Amino acid sequence: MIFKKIFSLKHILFFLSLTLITVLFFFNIITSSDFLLLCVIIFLVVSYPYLLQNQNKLEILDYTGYGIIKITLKNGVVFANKYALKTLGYKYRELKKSFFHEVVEEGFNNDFNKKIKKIYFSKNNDNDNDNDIFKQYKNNYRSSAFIDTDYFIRKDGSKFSVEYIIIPILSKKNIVSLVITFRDTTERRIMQDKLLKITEELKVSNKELESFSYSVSHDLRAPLRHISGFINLLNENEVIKSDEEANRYIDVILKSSKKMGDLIDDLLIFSRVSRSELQKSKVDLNEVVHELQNELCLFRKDEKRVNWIIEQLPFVMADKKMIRLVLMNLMSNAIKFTKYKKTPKISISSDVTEKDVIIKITDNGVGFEQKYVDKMFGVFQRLHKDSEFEGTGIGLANVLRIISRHNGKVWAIGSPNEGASFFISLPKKEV
Amino acid sequence: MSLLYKRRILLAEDDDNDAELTINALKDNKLADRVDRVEDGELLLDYLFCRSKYENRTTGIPAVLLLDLKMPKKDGIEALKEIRKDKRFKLLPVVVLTSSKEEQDILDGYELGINAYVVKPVEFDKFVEAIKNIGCFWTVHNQLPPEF
Repeated sequence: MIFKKIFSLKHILFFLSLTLITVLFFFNIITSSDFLLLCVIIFLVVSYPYLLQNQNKLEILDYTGYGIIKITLKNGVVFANKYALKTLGYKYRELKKSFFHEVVEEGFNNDFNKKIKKIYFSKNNDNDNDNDIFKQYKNNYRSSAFIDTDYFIRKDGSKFSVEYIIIPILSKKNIVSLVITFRDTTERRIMQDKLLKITEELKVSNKELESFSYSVSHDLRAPLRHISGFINLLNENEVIKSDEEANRYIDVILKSSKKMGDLIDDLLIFSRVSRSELQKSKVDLNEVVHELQNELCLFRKDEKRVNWIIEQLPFVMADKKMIRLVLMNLMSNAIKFTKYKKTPKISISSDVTEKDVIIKITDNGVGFEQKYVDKMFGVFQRLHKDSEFEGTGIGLANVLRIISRHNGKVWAIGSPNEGASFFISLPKKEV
Repeated sequence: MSLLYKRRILLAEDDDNDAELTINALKDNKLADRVDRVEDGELLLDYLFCRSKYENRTTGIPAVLLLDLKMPKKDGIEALKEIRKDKRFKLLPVVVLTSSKEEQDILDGYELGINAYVVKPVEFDKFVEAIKNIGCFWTVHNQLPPEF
């Protein structure tokens, strides 16, 4: 093989032509100046392909999609390809002889930095057996330990994520230089972040589904048990002491079957607000609130006692039906939980901040303990007994669901017997 | 025996109807009068630790706690965690009485040292039978830990 390489046709021709002109010169057939000229010509003809080939190799390095940097342990950066310079925003003369790891990473605690420093360090501690990185390099430079991801800093100070590979070049079992190949992975990272976000969302919705099916199995069974239970009690004559007692049992049965119906209705709404597509339009909250006020007034006699304080409200960009459901839930909750107050007071106001539109609904009802605030928004989660305040425990879960689907937030502040405030914020850019 | 007989059943159940049905079912064993009922996890802790509303309670440690899992405020599992933290109630017999068949609930319960897990039957007859058996077993047949 080696024989073939050295004595290729090109080389043979080169030597033959050199011998020929030497012979010609020797026998004075050509002059010394001719001889020199011919020598130069032959040399150029033979070496031109080599030069071209090298030029091609350099070109390939420049037009690859990876940044390639070579650093020697003595002199720092000795080579940087176009991609590397362009991505980092440096000119070659600025990088030349610099310590690359210090240039591209601001801190000294970064992983990339540590790795390179360890390599520098290992050179002076040849016998350091603890120096794993050095041993790994010696044994297998392809070790995955030297392919990693990190952030590099551009000249303008901006940060970008990279995947890099460090490969050492050894001489007499010592590392003399390193070739660092890196690739800007910003886009990939953005995709990864998106993927992570989606996974996170999926986890949340899975959890919701879990608690949902749990609650359905729990809460739908209860009314059935009550119906069959109290019918049986009615049948057992010994239990019933009076007509009054019998009537109470019948009442429980009726209420339970109504409860079952309510649960099923609310569950259907819940599944609808979770799945149906948002149809956003400009919604006048004033209109919605006044409509609801009249409606709630018709259905609940005692609503008339309520002292409503409703401020001017903004327009929002939202699904009208859903936002109506949100306000209906919050307003009817406010009515429900103020029913034992002598002078129920419910106020609705709004606040427009730089980023959000915030709607606030405050009542002076029974309130709640702040530590249970997160529970309130869960499906079938209730803070009150049914006998105190009726409810299926789905209303606020619907509110949370709808507002999250509008990329907004819901929160509440309350204290026992001192009323509650519910807040909805919708992002302004969607308003 | 006579001392044991005076022990009460503690029923933690938020639903009035379920509570009534349960207490009614216990009447056949003449246990109905010995049931104390609390309506949520918070009140359950108040009862056991003789706090606030139950400050002057003198009925001692119950023979068994019938625990519903889904209750307003503190739920059954959360309450149970706190109960088990207290030395006095580490060995308190607890029977979970719930409509949940969730594996996770069953597992969480047993990990917190419950003594039985009963899913409330929907059919009235079976419900009554289950409650009767539980009441009879835990208050009459079962031997409580010595330090109780």
